[in-house]
Amino acid sequence: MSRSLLFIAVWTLILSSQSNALWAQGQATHSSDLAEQANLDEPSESSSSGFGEKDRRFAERSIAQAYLTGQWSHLLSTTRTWLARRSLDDVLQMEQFLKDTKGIPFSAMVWRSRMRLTQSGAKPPPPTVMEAFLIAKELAKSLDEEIDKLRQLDIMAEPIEDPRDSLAYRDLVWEHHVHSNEVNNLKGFALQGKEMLRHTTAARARKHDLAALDELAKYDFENYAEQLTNLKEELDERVLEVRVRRVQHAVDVLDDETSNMTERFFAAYVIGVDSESLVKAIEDGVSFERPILSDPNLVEDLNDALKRGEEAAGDLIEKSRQLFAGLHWWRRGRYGMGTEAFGLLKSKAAMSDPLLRNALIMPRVTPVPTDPKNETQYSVPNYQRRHLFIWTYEDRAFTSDTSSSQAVTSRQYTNATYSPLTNKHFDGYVNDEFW
Amino acid sequence: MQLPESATGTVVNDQEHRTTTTSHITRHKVTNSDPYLIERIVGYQEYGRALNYFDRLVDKCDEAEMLAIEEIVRSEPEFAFYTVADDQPESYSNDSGQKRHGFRWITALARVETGAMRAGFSENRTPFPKTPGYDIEEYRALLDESARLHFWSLTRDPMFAALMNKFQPSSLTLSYMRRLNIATGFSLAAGIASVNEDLRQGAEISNYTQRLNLARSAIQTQIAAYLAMPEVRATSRTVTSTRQRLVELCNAGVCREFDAP
Repeated sequence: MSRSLLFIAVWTLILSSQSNALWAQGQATHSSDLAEQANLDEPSESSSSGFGEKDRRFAERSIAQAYLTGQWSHLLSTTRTWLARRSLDDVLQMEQFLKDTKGIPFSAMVWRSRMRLTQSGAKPPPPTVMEAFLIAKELAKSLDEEIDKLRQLDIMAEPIEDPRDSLAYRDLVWEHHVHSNEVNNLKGFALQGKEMLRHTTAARARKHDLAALDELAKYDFENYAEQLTNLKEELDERVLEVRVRRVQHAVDVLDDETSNMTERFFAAYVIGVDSESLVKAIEDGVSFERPILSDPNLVEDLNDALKRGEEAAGDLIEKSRQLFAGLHWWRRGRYGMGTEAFGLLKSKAAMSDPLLRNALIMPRVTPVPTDPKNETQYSVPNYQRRHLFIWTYEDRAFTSDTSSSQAVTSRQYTNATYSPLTNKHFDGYVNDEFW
Repeated sequence: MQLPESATGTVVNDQEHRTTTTSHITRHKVTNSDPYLIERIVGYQEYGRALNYFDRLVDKCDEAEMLAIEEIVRSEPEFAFYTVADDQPESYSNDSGQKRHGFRWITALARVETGAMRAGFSENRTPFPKTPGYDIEEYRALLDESARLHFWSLTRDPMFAALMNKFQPSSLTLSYMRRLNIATGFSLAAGIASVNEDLRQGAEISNYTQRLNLARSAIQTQIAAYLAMPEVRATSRTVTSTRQRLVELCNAGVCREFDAP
């Protein structure tokens, strides 16, 4: 169960504001220095003549290595060069070869590289027909899998099973928050897929792209976007039903004087949180499919229940609010990652923008801290103690100011060097000689 | 210089030696830290807000409610953390290196983290404020752990040893100065917290504080000397210019002649 707020929207905003420069920079860097550093092969120069040994070597030493070392722009640029001379059959062989040898299909490598680059703020050039085919293939597969998983969620069962206690209610509602974000992301991908297909036309196709173009016509990303819109509506409606039931459960807990204090804390929190937002969400809903939400007396019943709950909870509502708000902020302090200094700092812009100040990268699933004594590869959280690392960030520096001044001194000498002396009178010293 | 035939006098060279001396004075300084840097540190705002809620909450809760809060915190794995053991067993209490999971532990951790940020990145003279009291044991344990961690890792840090050996006017020196400030802040706070608790522990922490202060003052002195002593460099250039002129002596009447009477 994930319990941490995600700020995907904020991130998207930040990342999308960056320019093509990153991509261009990445291209330049990767195509020279990084390729050299990583000792990567260049793709086969030969035109399409079947998928041969040279291609297999290229796949293993260049594509797979670039993917595994996170050189996304290098992967895309070399792949692009290779794809430009290849037939659909070659591409499908490459797909199978990488799947067999590395466990990751070629299409997944291309799609994920493009996605990671976009997430990092770069704007890779529009895909070629063959790239579009690979991306569409992987994207459709991912969307099918993810939509299938979402449909299997507990909250999608009919009827929705009542959670056993307040804690389980809380978990179910939180899970919805996470899944709702996931659906939004998936819908974004589907719309990107639709846009990509719109730009991938026969006019841009080369002769050997035509088969791929035919394949592309089979994908309908608009349909995926519609499916996800419907799924989101259904999820939202179902969680509203859970929240309505949760209010009733909370009131029952608070009315029961024998209920334990832990349950009462959760119940009081529910009454506090739902007293306005739930009623408003139901009032704002145009129409609902779920019978419980279509009940014309629902708002009135809910208001009555909430009022009864408030009376029974008393000051526990405020206490529970303080507890859960405190836990929320503690969780962010412990597990949040900023955008700079390896996650230790927030961006400078965050100082003038409160929205950015709250933007932290949070884990998507509930983090389980690792024992520092038994850590293998990753530490959870990234920093067991922030104070052991934060001092390494230094914004001060020693600098020097140099000022200059000039002083001029001058000495003058007079020397007689030449005299057209004749017999005429002349008295005086010339070169220390009296004349 | 060609003189007319009838000319009298002499040609002289007027020479001027003009010497220009340029002095360069280089003064060193340390750029200021961004006063808002502390606000950018992940955890400062977050832990601070959490403590604000928690301290007000504890003030109002009775024993039964505190037990419930404890249960809620313990029901979530993410609110656990580990105290870090060290290979200096004599320096650590017996219960170190354990999983800590509870309301008082999380408030103590938040206090320690925000305190360290104040010690390193603010001018606050008491970066580790007193706890309201409910988590005093946990706070003391974490202060103690942090003081030891910083002290021992500084002691074993070859880069720090190199800096102490030879002063380098670099950002790295400033970073280590910051770290020394954090370590000293911890050491002082741990010392205050352990007063009347454990004499041996108190003496050990006091020893840390003294040694850290010595290191701090050594670097401070070196920085101060570096900043106070300007570097002076001077260059000179002499240009000689010569101008020739005729010095007329006789025609000016000095050696005038008279006709015989």
